[in-house]
Amino acid sequence: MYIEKIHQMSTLKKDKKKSFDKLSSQERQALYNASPFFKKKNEEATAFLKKHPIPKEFIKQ
Amino acid sequence: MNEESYSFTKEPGIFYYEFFSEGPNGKIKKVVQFQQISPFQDIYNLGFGDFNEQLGEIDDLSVSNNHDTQKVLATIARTVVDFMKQHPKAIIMARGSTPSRTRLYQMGISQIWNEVDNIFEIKGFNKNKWQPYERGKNFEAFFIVKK
Repeated sequence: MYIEKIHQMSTLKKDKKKSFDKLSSQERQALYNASPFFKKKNEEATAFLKKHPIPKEFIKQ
Repeated sequence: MNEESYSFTKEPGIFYYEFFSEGPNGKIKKVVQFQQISPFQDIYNLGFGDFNEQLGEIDDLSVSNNHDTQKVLATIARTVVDFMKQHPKAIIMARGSTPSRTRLYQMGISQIWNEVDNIFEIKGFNKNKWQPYERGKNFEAFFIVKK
């Protein structure tokens, strides 16, 4: 799942009529993913990695 | 893991963990999110914050003052271990929203270092390069991979 997909789910956050406790785990995930804080952090992390990529020798995949 | 920690909830196929901090300021819901940030590699960014149900928002700049920092950090560390069990090829990156938050993550790593050193490899970013994590050294960011 990538950030682009998550942006599409941001409308869930605005559905305040539905109690948070009644949300399914997928709906909660969409809500968390749409959170401006997490979005900002993920974008910053992406930019950081672009600027400072993890050396290939550190990745054993 | 020897440090006292909170129990957390996590469902299969879901990329977040929830737990409650309990202290003088009451019960505060905490969320740890693992978000894949690279389409080509299994690199996940670790996000952590308080969930404000009234606003329906995560706030990772809030300071809960619930006198349980060590316990919260130990819980985050446990979520990382759990996530790595389920995603053994994952690379988890952690970078605080502020330098003091990054230092907090560093405290969390130090807490579990002796227990995870033989399972995980931890690298930190310092002086413009990724290098092996060392206790007592300040880093701007970290990543964790399974050995």
